[in-house]
Amino acid sequence: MREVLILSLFALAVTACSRPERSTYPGSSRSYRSYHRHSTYGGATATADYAPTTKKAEAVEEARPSPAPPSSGTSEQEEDRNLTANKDTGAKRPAEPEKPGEAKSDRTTLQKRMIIYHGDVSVGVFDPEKAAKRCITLMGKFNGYMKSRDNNYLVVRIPAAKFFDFIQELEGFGKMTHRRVTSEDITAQFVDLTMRMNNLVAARDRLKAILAKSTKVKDTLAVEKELTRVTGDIERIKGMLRYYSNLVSFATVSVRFYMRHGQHKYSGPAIKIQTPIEWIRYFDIVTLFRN
Amino acid sequence: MKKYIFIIAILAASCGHVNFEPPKGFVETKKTDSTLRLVAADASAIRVTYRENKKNGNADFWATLMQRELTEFKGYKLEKKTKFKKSGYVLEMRAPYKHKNFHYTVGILAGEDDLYIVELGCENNVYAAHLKSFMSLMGKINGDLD
Repeated sequence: MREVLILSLFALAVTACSRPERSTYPGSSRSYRSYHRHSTYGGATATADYAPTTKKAEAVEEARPSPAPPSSGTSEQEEDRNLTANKDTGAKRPAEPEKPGEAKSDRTTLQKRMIIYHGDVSVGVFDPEKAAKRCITLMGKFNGYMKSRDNNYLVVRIPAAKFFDFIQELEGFGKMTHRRVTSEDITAQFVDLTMRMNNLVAARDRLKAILAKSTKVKDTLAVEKELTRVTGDIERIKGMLRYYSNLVSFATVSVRFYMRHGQHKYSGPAIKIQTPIEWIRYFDIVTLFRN
Repeated sequence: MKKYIFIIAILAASCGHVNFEPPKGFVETKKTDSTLRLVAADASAIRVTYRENKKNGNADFWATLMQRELTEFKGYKLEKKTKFKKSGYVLEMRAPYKHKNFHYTVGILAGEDDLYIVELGCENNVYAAHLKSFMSLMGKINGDLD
């Protein structure tokens, strides 16, 4: 019985620590193509790298995975599985016990591409302060939030689906002299973490089953030690998945408003030209009393 | 020789454009070819400035120019603008001086070739009395112009 337990623990440790095979990840172009060909993979995501129009932005929105699920009243086990299930399909799956072999099938069920968008724009305006206030209003309209502000330099987070619309709206503020949009595809990392998560959850289930069967204190302690390690790993990966989800769900836009010169409209009091006859300026009560 | 020097001295003395007798209560403190400064015992001051008039430079032109300069650029408050005889104007203003409101009155007299600007600066309580002196001086200058 003891040998069986030790062997099981060893096998579990190997399974939990092993990473899924790299060749099957969608990171490389070859694997990406095979991924793309999959019947469940959305075609819209393939063209969502740079979509300046609303239509394309909507396509991106459709392709986005839903944010990390809120913790419901389900058990820890279910929550973990739902987390990965949500990342993969956007729908909550029933909590079923998984076998290590089944984890492989999750790679192929991943339907969304995880893309982090970042925008960096500079807009020349006549009144930077006013433009910054208008930008904050617009941010609220797009359900975004402020990350930081340094005078007229703002860093805002905008829901990824509305990212291009937001940039387009900013163009209307003034003269956009600089615009840089970058995207980072983190699908590979996300799939990697999801696989590891699934493996660890499965390993934890088996450890719990072993723990229930163990009769000796020494065995129980050994299993619990392993269980603690696996649970810790699960939590760590869960946090990383949530972090990535947030990065994907909200695009980061850095906006700099600066004073636009040349055509500035003067809004102060009317300017009057002083008389060109200089000696007239000399007459004054001050000069009268002085000399 | 002494005779010639005396004649030259008399001519030189009468050559200036501002040879006017100070009105009652005022003392002459400075006199140049074009400027005469008179001071009263209460520190009120009168200054007469002579300038050569230019073509088309009538009293209306100079009064408008002076009014614009003083009210729009120096912030003086015009209280009264009156015409003085045929070729003159009097601008009665209030002017801030050392955080107090002083009376500052400017008279403009424009002849064909000559232009005189007469200023009076004084405190409120002595203004009425000094205005009379100011007006008498204006009358004298106007008589010279005619």
